[in-house]
Amino acid sequence: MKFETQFAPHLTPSGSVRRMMQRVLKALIPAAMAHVYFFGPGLIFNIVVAGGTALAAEAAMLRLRGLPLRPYLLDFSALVTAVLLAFTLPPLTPWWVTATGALFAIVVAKHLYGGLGQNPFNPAMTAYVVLLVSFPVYMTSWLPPLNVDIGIAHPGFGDSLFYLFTGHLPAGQAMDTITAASPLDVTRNQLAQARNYSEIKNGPLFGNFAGKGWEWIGIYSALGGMWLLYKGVIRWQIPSFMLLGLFVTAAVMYVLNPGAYVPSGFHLFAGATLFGAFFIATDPVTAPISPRGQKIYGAGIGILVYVIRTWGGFPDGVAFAVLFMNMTTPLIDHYTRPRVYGHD
Amino acid sequence: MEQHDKIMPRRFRGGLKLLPNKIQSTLTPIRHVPVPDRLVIPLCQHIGREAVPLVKAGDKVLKGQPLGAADGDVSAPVHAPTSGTVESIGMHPIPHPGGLSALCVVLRSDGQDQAIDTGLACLDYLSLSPEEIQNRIQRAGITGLGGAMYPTAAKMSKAEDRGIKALIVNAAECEPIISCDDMLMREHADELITGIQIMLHAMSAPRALIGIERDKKRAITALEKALAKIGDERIVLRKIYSIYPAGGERQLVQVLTGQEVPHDGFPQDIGYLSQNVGTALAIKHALIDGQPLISRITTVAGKGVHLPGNFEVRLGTPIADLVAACGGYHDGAEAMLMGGPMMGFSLTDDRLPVIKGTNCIAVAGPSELQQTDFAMPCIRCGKCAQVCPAHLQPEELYWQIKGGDLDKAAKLSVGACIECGCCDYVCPSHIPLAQYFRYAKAELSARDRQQQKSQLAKHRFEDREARIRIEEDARQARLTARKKRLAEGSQQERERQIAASVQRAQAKADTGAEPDKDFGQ
Repeated sequence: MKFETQFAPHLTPSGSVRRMMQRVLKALIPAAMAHVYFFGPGLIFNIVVAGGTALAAEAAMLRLRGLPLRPYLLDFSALVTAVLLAFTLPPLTPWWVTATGALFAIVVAKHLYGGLGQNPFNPAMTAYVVLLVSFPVYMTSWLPPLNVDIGIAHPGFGDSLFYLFTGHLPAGQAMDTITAASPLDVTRNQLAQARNYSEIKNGPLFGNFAGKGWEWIGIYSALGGMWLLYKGVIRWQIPSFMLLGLFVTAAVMYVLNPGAYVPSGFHLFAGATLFGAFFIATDPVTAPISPRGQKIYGAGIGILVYVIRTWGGFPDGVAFAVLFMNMTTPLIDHYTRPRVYGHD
Repeated sequence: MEQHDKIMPRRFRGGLKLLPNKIQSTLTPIRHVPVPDRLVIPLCQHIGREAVPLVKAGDKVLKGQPLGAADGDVSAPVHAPTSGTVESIGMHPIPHPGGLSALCVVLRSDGQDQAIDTGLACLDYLSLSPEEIQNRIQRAGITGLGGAMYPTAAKMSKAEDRGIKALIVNAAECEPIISCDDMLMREHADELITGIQIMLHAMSAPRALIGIERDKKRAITALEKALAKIGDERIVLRKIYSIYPAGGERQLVQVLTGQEVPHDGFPQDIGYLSQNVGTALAIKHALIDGQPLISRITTVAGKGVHLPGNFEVRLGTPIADLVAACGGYHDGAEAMLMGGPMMGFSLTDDRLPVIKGTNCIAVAGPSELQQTDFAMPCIRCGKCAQVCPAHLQPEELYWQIKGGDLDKAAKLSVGACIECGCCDYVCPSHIPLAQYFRYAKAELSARDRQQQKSQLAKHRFEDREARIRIEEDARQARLTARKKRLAEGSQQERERQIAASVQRAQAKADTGAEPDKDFGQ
C-alpha cells in the first residue's frame, strides 16, 4: 500500500490565529456590557461603524496586495482592532470620525507596514492618537456615566443615532450641556488648583476606586483579561508589570507628597489602565517576545502612563505609553534573548 | 551522595502536555509477528558507515550469522534474522525521511529458524573485562533502539574514557502513541535490570538512574518489583513528569541531574551516558542469551489499523506483515509514519522493512493527522518560545531563515534545536517551523562540510605551492652551486694554465739563452 508524505510534527495544531482573536472578542464582552450600561448604546454604534469600515478596508487592502481574502478576513484580526478602537472613542462620536480611525488603523498602521504580524505600532492606538490630534473636540467630549446626578440627562437612543450621523444634537441641545470632563481631567485640574485628592474624590463623578462607571469597565476588562490568561491567549508578564510599574511609581510620588499627587489605587482603576493592561499592551505583534522583555515592556508602559497622566496634557496616558514602548520593542527583544540550552 | 541528588528539578523548561494515546496499544501483551518468507535487511541500520557485506547471493546463512561487518568504529554489523538463503544483495528502498534506497541483503527464509552459535554469551559476565563486553556489544550489532540508532559500543567507549558518574536509562517514552518501551518494561523488567547491570560493568559506572514518566504506572510497578528482587542499590528509579519531550536526551539529563549538556557536546562530556531501555534489553540478550540484535519490539498504532499493539518482530520484516498482524488496515488509513506523531517521518510504502530504529509504525486514520494548511503570518505571540525545550526563540529564527540569513540563524543557535516539533504544534499561524529549522540545520551543516572541503582544498593547494617552492629553491640552490663550482672550476683551470705557461716559459728560459730578451727588444 502507498501513502502520501508530510512533514513532522503530524499532530493537528493546537490553536489558530482565528481562535485567539475570537477569544479576545469574547473576553471584551463583559467590559462592553459595562460600557453600554454606564455610557449608553454609543459603544455599539461605534463598534458597528468601526468594524464595518475595518473589514471593508481589510478586504480592499488584501485585494490590492494580491492576498487571499478568506483566511485573512476570517482571522478576525481587523475586527479586534476595530473593537479596541471603538472602546477608546467617546460614546457620542460622529460616524466619520470613527470611520477615519478604523480606516487609518487598517490601511496605514497595519497594511502599509506589511499587514498582519508586521506592524510596529499598535493599530488601534495609532488610530486613536491620530483621531485625538485631528478631532480633539469630538474625542474629548465624554458623557458622564449614567446614574450620576450632576444635572445632565443622557441623550436617548434616537438622539445618539442622530448625533452619530450628523455630528449635531437635535435642536435645543448643546454638546457642552450633556458632556462632562472625565475623572482623570477633573483630578488633574483640581490638583493644579492645590486641592488634594481626599477632597477631589468626593465629587459626583467619583466612585469607590476611581471614576464612576470607568472603574467598573476596568474591573470587567480585568475579568475578561483573566479569562484570556487562563486560556493562554495572553501572558501574565505584561499586564502584571504594567500595573506594578504604574502602582509603584504612583505610590512613590504619593508618599513623597500626598498633597500634590493621587494615591496608587486611583491610577489602577482610572481611565483605560485595566483595559489597556489586558487588551492593548498585550498585543503580541507589537510587544517583546521573551518573558524578561515583556516585564521590562510592561513596567515601561506603567511608568509612562503615570508620567503622561501626571505631567502631560492628554486625557489619558495609555495610548501614548503603549506607542512609546512599541518603539522600544526591537531593542528590548535584542537584549532579552533567553539563554539557549547548553550555552553559557 | 553525589551532587545530583540535591539538585532535583523535576521538570525542564518548555515542552508540552500531549495526549499520550497509548492505551490502545497497551491493552494486549506483546505479540509475535511470524517470520516472513522474504526479509530485506539494510546494511546500514545505524548512524555511521554502512556495514560491509560478508555474504553473497546463494549463500546459506543461519540465524544470528553476520551478514555485514562493521566498517570502522562508528558502524555496526548486521545479522541474519532467521536461517535461509541469500537471494540477492542490492539497492532497495529503506525507511528514511528522504525516501532513500540503500544496499540490502535479501534473505529467503528456510522456515527452520536455525541459530548459529555466536559466541556472544557469557553467563558470568563479571569475569569479562569492560573492553570485552563493549567488544561483544559491538559484535552483536547493537545500536540505540530509541530511534537514534547510534552504535552503542561506540557511544560507550567514548564515554568510558571520560569517566562516567551515572548511566541514564531512558525509559521516558514521551512521544504520543509509542508504547514499545512501556510494554517492554512491563513484560521484561528482570531482563532489563540485568541489561543495566551489564552496562554498568561495561562502563565501570557507579550508578544508574532510570528516568520514567510517572503515568506509566504498570511499568513502574514491574520495575520496582524487579529491582526489589534483584536488590542492586546502584540502580535508582526516578519518576518524572509526563511532559513532551522529557525523553529527549538533553531534557532527561537535565531533569535527572540538574545539569545541562553543553550545546557542542554530549552527555558524556558532563559524566552521563544515556541508553534506551530497548538497548539495555538487547545487551542482555547478547551477553546472556548469545543472541545478536535481530529483532525488536515495535508499536503499531493509530486509527488506521484494526488491532493496535506491540510486536516482537524480526528486523527486515516488511511493515505490511506487521500491519497484517494487527488485523490489517481500516478503510480510512491515510498515512503511515515511522516513529511518533511529533518526530516521526512519513513512509510512502508498506513494503519497507522494519529496521533497528523502528520503534513505532503509526497508521493514521481519517483526519487524525494535520491537514496541509494555509500558513498565516507570524503574529509574534511567543508561544513557540514558551514551549521550546532548547530555550530558543523559534519565531526569531523563523524570520531569519525565511529572510535567507542562515548566518544569523546560526548565531541565534539554530543548531540547538532538537526538532521536537513543540513550536510547530502550538503555532497559531500554522507555520511549519520544524521544517524551517530542519532545512536551516541541514543547509548549515552542508555549508560547513563545503567549507571544510574548500579549506582542505586550500590547504592542499598551499601545501603544493610550498612543496613547489621548496623544490624550486632546492633546484636554484643546486644550480648556483654548480655555477659556482663551474666558476670556481674555470678559475682553477686558468690558474692552472697560467701556471703551466709560466712553467713552460721557465723551461724555455732554462734551455735557450735569454730568448725573451730578443723578443723584448
